[in-house]
Amino acid sequence: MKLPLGLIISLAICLNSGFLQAQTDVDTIMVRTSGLAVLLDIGKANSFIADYENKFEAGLHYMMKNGLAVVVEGGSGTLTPNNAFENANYESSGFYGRIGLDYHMHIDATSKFIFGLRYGQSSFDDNFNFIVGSEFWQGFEDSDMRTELDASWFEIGISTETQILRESTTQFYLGWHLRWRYLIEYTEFEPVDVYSIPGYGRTVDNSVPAVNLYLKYVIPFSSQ
Amino acid sequence: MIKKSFFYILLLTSSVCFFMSCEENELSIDGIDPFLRVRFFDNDSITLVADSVAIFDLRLEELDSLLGIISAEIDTARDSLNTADSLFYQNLLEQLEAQQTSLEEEESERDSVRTIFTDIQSRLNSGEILLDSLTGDGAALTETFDEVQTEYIFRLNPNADISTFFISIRGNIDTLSLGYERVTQVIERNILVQAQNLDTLDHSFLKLEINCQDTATCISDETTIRAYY
Repeated sequence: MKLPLGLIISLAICLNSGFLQAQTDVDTIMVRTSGLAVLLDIGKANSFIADYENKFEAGLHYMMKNGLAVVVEGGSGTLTPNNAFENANYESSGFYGRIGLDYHMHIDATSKFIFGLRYGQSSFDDNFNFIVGSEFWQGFEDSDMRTELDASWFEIGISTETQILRESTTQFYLGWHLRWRYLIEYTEFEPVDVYSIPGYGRTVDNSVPAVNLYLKYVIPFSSQ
Repeated sequence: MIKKSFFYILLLTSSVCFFMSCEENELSIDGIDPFLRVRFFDNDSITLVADSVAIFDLRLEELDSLLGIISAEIDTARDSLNTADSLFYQNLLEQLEAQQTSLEEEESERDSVRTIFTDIQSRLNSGEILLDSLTGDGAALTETFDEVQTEYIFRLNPNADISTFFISIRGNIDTLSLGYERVTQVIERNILVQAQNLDTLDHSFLKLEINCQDTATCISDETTIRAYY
């Protein structure tokens, strides 16, 4: 069994966020309401020790004073889902990007709810090999590789984030995205279809949920 | 407070997703290779028994007819017992009743034997048989059997478009060569090879019948062959 690093990080952050929430009432904190922020998906950290995927994702958010933020996100992923097929190894890998808008709603001086929309595109390759076992004859093995595949999708999501390291002059936020992704189109195949799309997920249904844990750093050159 | 609860809900969701992804699977799975069902029928025995049952049926019909005539004659003789020739009719009646008893005994015996024949006929028509062995040209094994079966599963070679089988029935070897088109399919999360457009290339049986569920595709898994040896 692999070490559930994602779980440990998640637990630590949750406990931390609760602790910070208790402190909020007594601290006086300066919050930037506009500016540029860099976002790193730290929930994907467990993919570096997991044997079924390898993912990285980061983003840039430009926050405006009216609560809106323009978002550009990008990442790469290699997905080898064990449960794609009973008798096959499947892998997809590639790059993806998203653009969209967020609306920030302050809960208090350090925490926010964020509502967002995204349009995503992925460019990827996939491959698979399978075995049809036979006791009577020899087993049959075959494989295939497909390149230059594309996919696009929409996302709607809700996020919540809270400021950490408040004693510092810099502003770091920890947050969660909960998103629902709707597949618009992708390069389809028969009979063995694309199973997973980097940046989107499984193609089994035309919509999938996704959860992301992120760390956001607000670059301190915007107005406060 | 709302924010804290939301964090915990997301934590739970994330944890469940993480652990669900840790499943391991075995790549090679047996029993998903293409196959067809084959039934065997002893053609000579089926014909012989059918002919015998037909002969029995013919004789039983004759006996029925004779017993009907005798029964009518017995009734007539009984009606004539009170006439002047009562002695003659008494003797006739006794003869007719003896003849009737004899025919009824024959009918009963023939009916019993016919029942035995029809039982045998049912078993022959069910295709109940014990094969000695089954192997193929290039097969990895020779399959032997311990129990009588009415239907045998023949696995087709997933590496070739032709499968040739050697079937041993009561010491005699019969051959069956089948041609097909291999098509990759995904069924219930298995990538498998389906044998379509199944056809007989050669065989040593007296007669062979292929029953495809869909004659347009003739998928082997949905096909039964009746082989008469």
